[in-house]
Amino acid sequence: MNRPIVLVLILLSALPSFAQRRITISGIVKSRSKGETLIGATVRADGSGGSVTNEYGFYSISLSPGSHELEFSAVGLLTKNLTVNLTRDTSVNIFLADDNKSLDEVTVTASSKRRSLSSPQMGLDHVSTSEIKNIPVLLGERDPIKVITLLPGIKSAGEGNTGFNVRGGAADQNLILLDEAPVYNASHLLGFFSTFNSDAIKDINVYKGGMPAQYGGRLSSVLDIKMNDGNNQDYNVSGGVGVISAKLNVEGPIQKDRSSFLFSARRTYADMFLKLSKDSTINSNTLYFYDLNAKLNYILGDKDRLYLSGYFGQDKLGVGKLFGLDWGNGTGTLRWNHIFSNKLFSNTSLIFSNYNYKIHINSGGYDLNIFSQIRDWNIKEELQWYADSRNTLRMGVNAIYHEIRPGEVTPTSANSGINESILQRRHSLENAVYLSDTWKATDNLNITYGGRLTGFSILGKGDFYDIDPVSGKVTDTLHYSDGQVVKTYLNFEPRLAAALQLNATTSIKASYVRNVQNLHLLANSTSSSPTDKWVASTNIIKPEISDQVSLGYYKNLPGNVYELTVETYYKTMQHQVDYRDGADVFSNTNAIESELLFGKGRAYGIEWLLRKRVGRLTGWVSYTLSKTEKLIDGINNNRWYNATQDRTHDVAIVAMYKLNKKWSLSANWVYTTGNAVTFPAGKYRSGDQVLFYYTERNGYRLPAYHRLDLGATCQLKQKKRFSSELAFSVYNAYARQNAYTIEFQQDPDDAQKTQAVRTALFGLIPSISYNFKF
Amino acid sequence: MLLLRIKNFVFAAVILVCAASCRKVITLDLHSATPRLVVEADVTNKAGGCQVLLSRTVDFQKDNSFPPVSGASVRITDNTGNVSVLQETSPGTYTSNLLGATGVTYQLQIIAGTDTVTGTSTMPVLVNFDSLFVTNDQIFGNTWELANVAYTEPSDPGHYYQFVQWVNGVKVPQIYTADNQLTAGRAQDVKLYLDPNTKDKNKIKKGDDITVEMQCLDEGAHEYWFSAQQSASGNSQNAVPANPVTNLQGNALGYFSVHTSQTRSIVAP
Repeated sequence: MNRPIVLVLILLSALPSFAQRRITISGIVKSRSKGETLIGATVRADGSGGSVTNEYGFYSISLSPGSHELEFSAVGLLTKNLTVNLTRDTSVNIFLADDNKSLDEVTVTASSKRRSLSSPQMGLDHVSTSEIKNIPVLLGERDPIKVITLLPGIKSAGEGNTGFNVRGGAADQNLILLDEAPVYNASHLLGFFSTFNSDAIKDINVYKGGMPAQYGGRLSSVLDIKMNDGNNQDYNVSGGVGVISAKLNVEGPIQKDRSSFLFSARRTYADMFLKLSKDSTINSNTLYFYDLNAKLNYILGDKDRLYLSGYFGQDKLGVGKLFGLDWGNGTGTLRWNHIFSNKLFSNTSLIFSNYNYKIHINSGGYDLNIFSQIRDWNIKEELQWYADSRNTLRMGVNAIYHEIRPGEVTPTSANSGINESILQRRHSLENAVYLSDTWKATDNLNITYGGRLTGFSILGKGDFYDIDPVSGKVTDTLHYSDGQVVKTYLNFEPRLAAALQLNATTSIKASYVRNVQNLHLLANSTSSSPTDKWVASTNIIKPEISDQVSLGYYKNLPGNVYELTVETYYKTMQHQVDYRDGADVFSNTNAIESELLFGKGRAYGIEWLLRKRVGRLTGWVSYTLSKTEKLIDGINNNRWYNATQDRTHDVAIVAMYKLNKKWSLSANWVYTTGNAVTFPAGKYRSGDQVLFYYTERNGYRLPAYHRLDLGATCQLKQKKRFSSELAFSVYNAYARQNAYTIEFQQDPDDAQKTQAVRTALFGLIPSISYNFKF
Repeated sequence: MLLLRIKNFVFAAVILVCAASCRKVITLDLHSATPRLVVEADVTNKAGGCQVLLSRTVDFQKDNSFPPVSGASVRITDNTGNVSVLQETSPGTYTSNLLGATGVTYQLQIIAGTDTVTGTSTMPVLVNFDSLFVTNDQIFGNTWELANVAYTEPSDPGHYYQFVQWVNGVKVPQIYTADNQLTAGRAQDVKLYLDPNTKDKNKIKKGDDITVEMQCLDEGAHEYWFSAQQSASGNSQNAVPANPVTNLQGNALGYFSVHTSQTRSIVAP
């Protein structure tokens, strides 16, 4: 794999020598008050062009020798201007001060705009931490994942459901990264909350399309979440108490300017109320979750920086001694930034990620535990080469070792009615090498071209099977020894994008990307659950492949106060997996493929986003018109059917209003077409009871879902270092009974009739929380 | 499987307790469907157990009166060539005095108008129904009286069961199935949970007559009842709604089950 890369590098390095002599200035941009590196801060030279800082705050620009005006800016911070006289390559670190503007000034400069019309990156949405803090969500919990579902193209899987769907993709097609570590189940409490504590988060980027070459492994999106590094200037303690949870965040310097730590914890305490009950069937129930985030970072020298971050979270659900369900993620990342030169930045990462669930059952004659786990060890090396004023290259290698323990059933007492059943562990190696160049072809045209080559190797030891695709019966068993390669899937994923800037306020963009996914989440119902199985590709389960083409139109409306984005996409998905009818999801069999069917999917749509980022009133209006369909061999008579997540219309209106120094208000209203569902066309008798007769898959819709949430935050009196606020919110302000599920049953009052019953989860839910900081 | 049943019972209960949730009967506009032939074919080891019921599907809004299919030709042949021709004793009901024998494979053939339906099923080994008893269980602050079935699983693989429960002569509209994939060789105590949404008047109370039939099925019949319970009983919590996996060939819904039948009764204390 080395030779082609070396050739490309030699070719590209030849380019600068033909251009006029350039001097490079580079450095790290940080916030003065906290010492946090700034991601995506804008660096402009002489009032034009420029670049942005990378995910570690590093910038590098090449200019002609002589005097230049540099401008550094970031949202919420004061712009800094710097005059430099360049004679040789230099590095200058920049500190930006907080911007405590009075409310009446609405000073908007083009440079404080976050989005870039010239960058070929499209399909990217960015959520700031202030937006997360202001948007009201369920029970007052500030939830980054709930906020991104208010953006076009990203839909929540529904109340009580884990996950989200991006551009028609399934919930397992999102690569969720926390400081580069994948999080396998980002949901707490059956999907009501996510695992991300907004106090510890610095930046959130969601790629719906046009994924850059450094990301791979999931078909539909990348949710890249970066944690705060930890204030290396001053100690900070903040926290809050809400209706159902409490949290605490502590950060500060270990050695001022050089190193810092961050520690965040959050726990729900709803089960404390359960313990107050005198009823022993209630006070023995458990219902809680907790999250812990920790980070250490250390500046080793001018050129080196080390970060260590970790996350650990658990959910516990229990019905007395009868039944218990625990699940949780643990991740750890060790990263080393090294600046080789003004033009070459390197990041090396060692990543660990673990997700498992445990079920305990203690009922009558059954005492058993069920356990399932997926674990990743990952090493990654990336180089960012700011080759010259026209080319920025990114290249890297990534190797992940996956180990899956699919299912282990163990009896916990001698007279348990269950035998031990341990499925074989599954091992695989996922390797990737990538290269891409963002090339300023002309003053108005920027092109990113490149690709990712991935190899997925399935390893022994283990038994793999030949299966008859029609009956699902095993026809042959193949035994592999430790480390023996069962099969390797090689795939090349082109990643191409281009942006043409038509004038100072308008641009159009286009992109084509291919994504490959080798880990599949098997879910056999309309609602997902923490016990859904992660399965790696095998000799029968092929890697899923998606191809997405998208076009976009971007306009900054006059005055630079409103931004309009229109994007349209078309995506095809191959080798989609589904359970066959009547599959036993809890069947503890090594030959999981005997329960599966395969097919394809397609999704297309158009997304509109009108956004206001400055002024007292900020927010956005988003509208998505889309369709997602699947065709699986063996389902719906091999005809296309609407995927469950197909929702024709999806509207979100979000408004945040800063009333005065004390009060800020917010509101959001969402409307979506109901999910596609399967309803019966008739009924019949079988064994003295009524069964329902189905003629098509997903031929109906749930009623439309709409909801209004309101919020208000009041800043309480500030004393010296201590500040606090009270946040009020009302979820589902007009108490609409949105259908969670519609079920069918015999009428309990009339044996001659059957009826449809709608279950709605939430009425109007108010909440209040208190947050402090010092 | 029972693990699934316990899990779903709890999930349903958690959702109910968790939030101010609300259930309401609604009217839906459901499409009609061309009526389709439905076969309920049983052969047991007891006298009078050989019965084939033929009916048709009806639209959802109609009453639960399923039109019987008369005048069909129904025959069951065993693997030695003995043919039993079933007679229509009442509209849609076809019976004969055939008694199923262990290990024998039976072929069903039905010709009803233009529809031809066939199926195969084998009488499995009888596993003894040891006892039936009632327990009081505390779940989420409510007390439930539940019937329990005790039996011992044989140690060889491939045993499947269905339990049918009647309370005061009325069949409980729930399907209970089991297999011995995880339980081979062990003593079993299967609790027949009721639907968490069961109204109080339909719950088991002191003095109620409880009858439970234990059926030992073959794999095809078990697959039918298992998938019927998962996908065709009206909820979508367990699996995406779909018609059960049938062991019949031809354009019909339903099943052909050759099974052993043992019944026990008890009065709830």
